[in-house]
Amino acid sequence: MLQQLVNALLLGGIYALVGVGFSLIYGVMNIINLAHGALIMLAAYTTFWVFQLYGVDPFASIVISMALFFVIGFILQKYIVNRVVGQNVLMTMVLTYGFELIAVNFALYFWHADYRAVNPTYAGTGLEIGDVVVPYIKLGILTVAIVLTSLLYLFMTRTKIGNAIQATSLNKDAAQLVGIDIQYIYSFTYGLSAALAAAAGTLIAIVYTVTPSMEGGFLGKAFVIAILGGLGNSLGAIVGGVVLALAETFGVVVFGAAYQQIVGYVIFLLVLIVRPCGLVGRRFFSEL
Amino acid sequence: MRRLASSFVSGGCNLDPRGKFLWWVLPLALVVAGTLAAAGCSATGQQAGDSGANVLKIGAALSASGSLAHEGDVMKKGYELWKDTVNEKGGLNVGGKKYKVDMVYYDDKSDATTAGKLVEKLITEDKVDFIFGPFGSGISAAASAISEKYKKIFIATIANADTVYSRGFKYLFGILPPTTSGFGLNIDYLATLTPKPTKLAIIYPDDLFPASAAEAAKKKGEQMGFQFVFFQKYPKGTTDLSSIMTQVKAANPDALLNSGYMEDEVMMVKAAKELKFNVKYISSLGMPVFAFMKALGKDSDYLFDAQWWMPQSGWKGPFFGSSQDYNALYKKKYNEDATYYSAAASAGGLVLQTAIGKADSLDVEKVRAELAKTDMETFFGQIKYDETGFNRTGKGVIIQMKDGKINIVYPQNLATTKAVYPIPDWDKR
Repeated sequence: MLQQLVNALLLGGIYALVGVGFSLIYGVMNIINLAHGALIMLAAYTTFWVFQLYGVDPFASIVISMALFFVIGFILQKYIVNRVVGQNVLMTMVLTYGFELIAVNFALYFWHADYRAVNPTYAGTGLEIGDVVVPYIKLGILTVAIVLTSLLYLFMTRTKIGNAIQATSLNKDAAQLVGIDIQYIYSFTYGLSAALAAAAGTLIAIVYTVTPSMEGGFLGKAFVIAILGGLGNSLGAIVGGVVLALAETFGVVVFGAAYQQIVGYVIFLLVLIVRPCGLVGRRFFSEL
Repeated sequence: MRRLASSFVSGGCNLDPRGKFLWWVLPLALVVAGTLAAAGCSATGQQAGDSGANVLKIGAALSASGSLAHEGDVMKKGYELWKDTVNEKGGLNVGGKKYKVDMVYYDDKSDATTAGKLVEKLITEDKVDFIFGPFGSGISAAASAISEKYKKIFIATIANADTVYSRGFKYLFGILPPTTSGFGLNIDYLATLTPKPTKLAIIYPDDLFPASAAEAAKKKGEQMGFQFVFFQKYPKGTTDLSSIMTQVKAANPDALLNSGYMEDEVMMVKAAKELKFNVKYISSLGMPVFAFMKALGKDSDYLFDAQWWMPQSGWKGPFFGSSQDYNALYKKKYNEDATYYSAAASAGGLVLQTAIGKADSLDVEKVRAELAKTDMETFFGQIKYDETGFNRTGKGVIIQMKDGKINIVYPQNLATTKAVYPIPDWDKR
């Protein structure tokens, strides 16, 4: 039982990272970013290739992929996604889904559908405390997830640009009035979200297999996690991630393996009905 | 297409909030339109070389994207190898005329509904003569329901769940022997091992083929006196198996079997290692072994797997020669070893070609009658149909992986080495 609790917490770390970037974009730009899974997938490939060709340790390559995807995200927003900000929700979905399709087919074309995996030498080793095994990799991932989300929280609350992002998400017109360049803020936020997706993709590459079709599953998870935690709430993503991981893990323990995902989705639906702003979310005043 | 794209840009729909002219959209639209047009051409396949030749058109909706894209890709190589070999030898002789083979492929996106629609398109629009199947029982079952409606022959090369054939279809023929002959072979093998394992565990993703394999193996195991300490399915497409593997570890089995796909097996082995779960025997079913070993690296050592065909299987037949000859031909074309995925696909072509030859006609009913009578030795093993079109005669082999090599360990007469059993603990490797 204790082992299962450890499993869930470690899995929650990955889920939190998957959800946080998705949540951020929705909070600031009101865009359901269907390209999020594709960004995770492309970052996973980046990690794979950097590891395969140059032997860079996946944990070290987080820095590389985050920087790279910040730039990619920034450019993607500035020249493409920006055109649908403020348009109706369908338009934003069509555009981001289009990007997702292009990215997946790009990956299929260049890297084929082969399953790939990153296997650093320490893969599979872990700390044994009594009967409980804590794999080092997943412990590292949880640490990275906590550090990154905390940094994001500090960034949003303590820095000028972070405050500007929050101001923009609260009231875009008022933000503009006080001199915030909202185009820049939007691009910056998208870059930030892409960098977080890249961190998630990098870490996922170490624990799971990398394929062009991996994006779908994680996009679905990102959705659930972001809703559970409250859309737009970065600390909420940690709560959402851990709740989903607990639900999936104890779904297996209590009801059997076949119920792994059902339990998570049932909680998701209940939250939507009972607390539509998420477990720790609160209503933004801009929405009132 | 080009007109459509550019009119979209210059027309009333201005997406730029600042109202600037989107100078870069036009070239981009042209590139996209060009790519789409090119893709459209390639989707319909190449036309046969000389325009006067007769063409035998065969359609296949394979998975080129989605979760089964890898499997679909390898099967396509098998179909292509058969097609090229036939065409290089001058084509097929039917009624005194030479026919070149032409293949039409579509991407079913690993989705059964899409596969059904594409088979309909192949039959009604592309007017193909015969249909070759995709990877997997679930998709094949859906796709063959459409071809049956149109009375077209469907060779389901990789579909061997009983439910695919038990629907009384007349125009459906398989290639791969039943799941029991592959996955169930593990049970036969386990019974010969010492120390004899008694407690077994099976986990599998909830999908037609893995479920049918797992249930058949359980039935067989129970008849042979094995005890199943853990037998559970989990949702298909799951991204984490640690919670399930923790439950399996607690059940303490001697042998662990998973009838899932490659992603499942990779996750299972990684989770077993992480949880320091040592078990005497781990086996999967029908992995694309070379890709599998590459993905797991050193951790693939000592893993067992049930395969329906190996280059070393030692079967012989017409056209392709022996299983080794087939592998040599495949290696020459693709620079890698063949697996049962492509071998089954090529064998599908071979069986159809033989039936067409005997019927000396492309008439569906005549070819169907000959197909039903098929009883031949091939490089893929014996192929003989029961009244439902299921090839129940073939038998698989059990292999063990070690240092990037594949060794046949069962049945005894084909074994190349003695297996390492029980497999060493994770910390003793």
